[in-house]
Amino acid sequence: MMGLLQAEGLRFIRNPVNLWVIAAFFVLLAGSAIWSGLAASEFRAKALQPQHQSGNNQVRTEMHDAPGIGKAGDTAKLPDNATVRLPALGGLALSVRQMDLLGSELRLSTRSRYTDGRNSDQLFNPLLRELGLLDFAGVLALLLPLTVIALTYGLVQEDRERGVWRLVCAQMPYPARLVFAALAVRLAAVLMPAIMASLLAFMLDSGSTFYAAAYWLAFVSVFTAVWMTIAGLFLLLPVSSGAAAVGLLGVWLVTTFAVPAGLSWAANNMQPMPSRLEAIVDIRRIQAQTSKQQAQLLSVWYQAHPEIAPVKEPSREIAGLPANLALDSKVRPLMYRFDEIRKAHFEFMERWSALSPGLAAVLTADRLAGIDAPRYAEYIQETNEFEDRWRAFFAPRIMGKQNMPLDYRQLPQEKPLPMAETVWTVILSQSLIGMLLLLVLVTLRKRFGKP
Amino acid sequence: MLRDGRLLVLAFSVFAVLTGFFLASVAEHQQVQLEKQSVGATAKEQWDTQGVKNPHAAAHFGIYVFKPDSPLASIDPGLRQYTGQTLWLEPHKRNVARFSPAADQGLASRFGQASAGFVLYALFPLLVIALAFNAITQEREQGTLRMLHSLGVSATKLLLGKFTGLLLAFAVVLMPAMLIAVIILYQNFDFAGDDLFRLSALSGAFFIYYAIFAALAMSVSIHFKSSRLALFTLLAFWAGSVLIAPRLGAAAAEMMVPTPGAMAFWAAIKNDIQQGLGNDGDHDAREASFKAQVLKRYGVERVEDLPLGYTALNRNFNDGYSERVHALHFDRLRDAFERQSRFIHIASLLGPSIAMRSVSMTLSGMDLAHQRHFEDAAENYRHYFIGLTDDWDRERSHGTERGAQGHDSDWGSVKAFSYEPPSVGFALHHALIDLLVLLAWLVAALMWLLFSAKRLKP
Repeated sequence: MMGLLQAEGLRFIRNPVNLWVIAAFFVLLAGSAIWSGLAASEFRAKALQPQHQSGNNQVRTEMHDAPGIGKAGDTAKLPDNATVRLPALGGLALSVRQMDLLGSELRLSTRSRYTDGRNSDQLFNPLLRELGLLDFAGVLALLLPLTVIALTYGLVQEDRERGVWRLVCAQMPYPARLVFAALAVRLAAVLMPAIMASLLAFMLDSGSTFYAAAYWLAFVSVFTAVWMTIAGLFLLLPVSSGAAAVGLLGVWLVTTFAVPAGLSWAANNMQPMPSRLEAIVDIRRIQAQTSKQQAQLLSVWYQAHPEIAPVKEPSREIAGLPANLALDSKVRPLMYRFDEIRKAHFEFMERWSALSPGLAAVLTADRLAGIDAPRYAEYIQETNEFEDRWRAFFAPRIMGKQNMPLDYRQLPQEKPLPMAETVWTVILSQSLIGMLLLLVLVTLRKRFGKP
Repeated sequence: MLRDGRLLVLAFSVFAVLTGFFLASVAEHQQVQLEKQSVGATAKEQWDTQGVKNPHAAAHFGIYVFKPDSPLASIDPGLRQYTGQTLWLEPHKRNVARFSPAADQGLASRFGQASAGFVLYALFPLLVIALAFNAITQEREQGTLRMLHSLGVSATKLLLGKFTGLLLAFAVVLMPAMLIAVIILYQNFDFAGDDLFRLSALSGAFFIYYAIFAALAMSVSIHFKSSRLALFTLLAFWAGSVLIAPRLGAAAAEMMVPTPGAMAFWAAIKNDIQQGLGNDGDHDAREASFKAQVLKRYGVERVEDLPLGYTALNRNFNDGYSERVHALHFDRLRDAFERQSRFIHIASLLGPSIAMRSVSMTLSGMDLAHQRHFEDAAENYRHYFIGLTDDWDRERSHGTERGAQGHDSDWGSVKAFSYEPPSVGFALHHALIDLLVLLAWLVAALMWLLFSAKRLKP
């Protein structure tokens, strides 16, 4: 077998087209790795910058018409907002731009962040997102199968068309071994640049971890093996090399584009995503309700906090604070539904990811980057709880116009999210599907013996 | 070509996928439009029935507006996944559209949207390649090219014949698809003459796009000795054009033309309002100057003695300044987006797909230019209804007293937002560069085809 491997290795290297394919693959992957690694480092550097906090000057600018705002000057020294960020994990370079798509940076204040996009929404050029950026996992998931197809399609069929395969069958007792040797050489040839580029991405990301890199490399190995096995199965087909190429391309198109769309459709049918637009109507209904009850809510708040003396001429900020808190307590569950359903959809797609290696790649990348839907839902829940504690700390000070000295040691702290995620489910399901396909290939290996 | 079994199988498969995606897109588009209309009507009704309250407090309740998408968005939803679905209009602040569908359905569309547009710009070129990659290599491999040569058939005529045959075969697939699209769009949407012009232009652009791939495929088939190598080269070109070039272009544009993040953008606006632009002075200085002017104009010593509401007047003054600052920053941001879009065209050197996608989005009314047109119209509407509430507040109060009240009859008198999308001329104007890029690719591909014909050897 070693002799066969050596011979196939030589045959592979001596074909300049193969070398060009591998070189192009590596250059593109390395480009994506550099871009992703640097972007991840930049993201982490921004996260380390001091959190933006501001006093009532900002509110004053926004609410410059508010009568009596000057009377609330006593609270001017209080920080009226805080920023929280979803902490990225060690595999951020794999899926860095997904962090921009979701609100990974949230501003907390006494107002509901759900009613003001400035506190949660990201700002980006939609055209760049639509064209797709160079997120490493996405680029690898697209290009690696194409490279496998380019290096393997019609290996047997072309030899058959040229009459060479007849010779192979006549000279070898087990022609399948030659095919397996050719596939093994190509597996190594594809895997090497994929691993090197992956390591480059992780090295350039200042916050990458060995744990994430190890998981990712394990996944990439399985991913490559699955595609090599699919390519091997196509070598069995009694068709022309061109037809084999078109067929393989068809499998790639179906598994990469159609299956994820189908799974998304199925997930949405099982647990429909609520309408954001209908949520607007609900939010407005709640806004109208709390706005009408503003005076009553103010009075109820002071009754619930007998230790705070009611302000005689409350500024708009003070008068509206209990209503804002009531509004947010009703809006939050409405909006959290979206995160819960996204989480359910993600988990559903993860269960079925064996059907689409490309989908499995982005699911793994999202998990390792820390931007997966289950973690994001947890982040939102933690943020809501932190916001409640933060408000409980500041609201009495604002409502009582107390010029209390702030003891920053007493400031509420965020609970840290778990800093590692497991991706064994996806890797195992990909391995299982890979082994199943390999079993079929090995079972049908005698067909390679037909000239 | 018609006797080629591949055409039948591939055309039928791609036609089936196209029809499936198109019908799914039509259903989704219909649902989105109905939802926008329904939610828009309910939101306006909620605005109209706010009850008795201060006009400015009513203005803070705000109005939601929705961009009515062209029926052609069923073919190419363009940027819909990434632009917000709605724009909230409120006093003091100018917002950006919120709730992009991609945030909720990100996984399925990570590699591209499952839309008819995707089939047209990504899969149909594959069909062209699958049909044309061995147009000459096969003749050469089977020895028929030598026979044709000996019969005195000129290489140019042979190639142009094959090229025309391929395009005609394509027209046979594409024309019924377009006809069915027109019928379905006409039945389901308000399909106006402007939309028909847009669809015709879009069909023409796609035809040019396929002609580019056909000419390149023919030329490659001449230059390579084996069908395998020709197919390999063409698939690499397809991957480069459809998958790699857009990503490289987008990444390069992002690096070369940086745009501010959300926090920095809003903070810069707040800072400019507070500190003032140029030599305008800070917020307090501007207010003091305005107050002095008002007191002088009305000949009174104190704002309390003014015959009209000073709070509303002052707010109106501040809002005017805020609008100026917002417009400056929004225009800067959107200009940067446009520069990024232009920068992406550099990647068009790798293939014509970026230009085709841009043309498709623009003609479908789902690009940045149409979004900007809508946002500007919404901003004008914001000025209109906030201005009305300020007028009521000012006229129904005096001095610093804030007793002005409005009623449902006032809120109901605010006209509903009515948006007139731009015409096909606007779309063609914004698609001009991309159309020129497509034409340049076509000319280059045809010239290469003619040049290759001269080098054709049996």
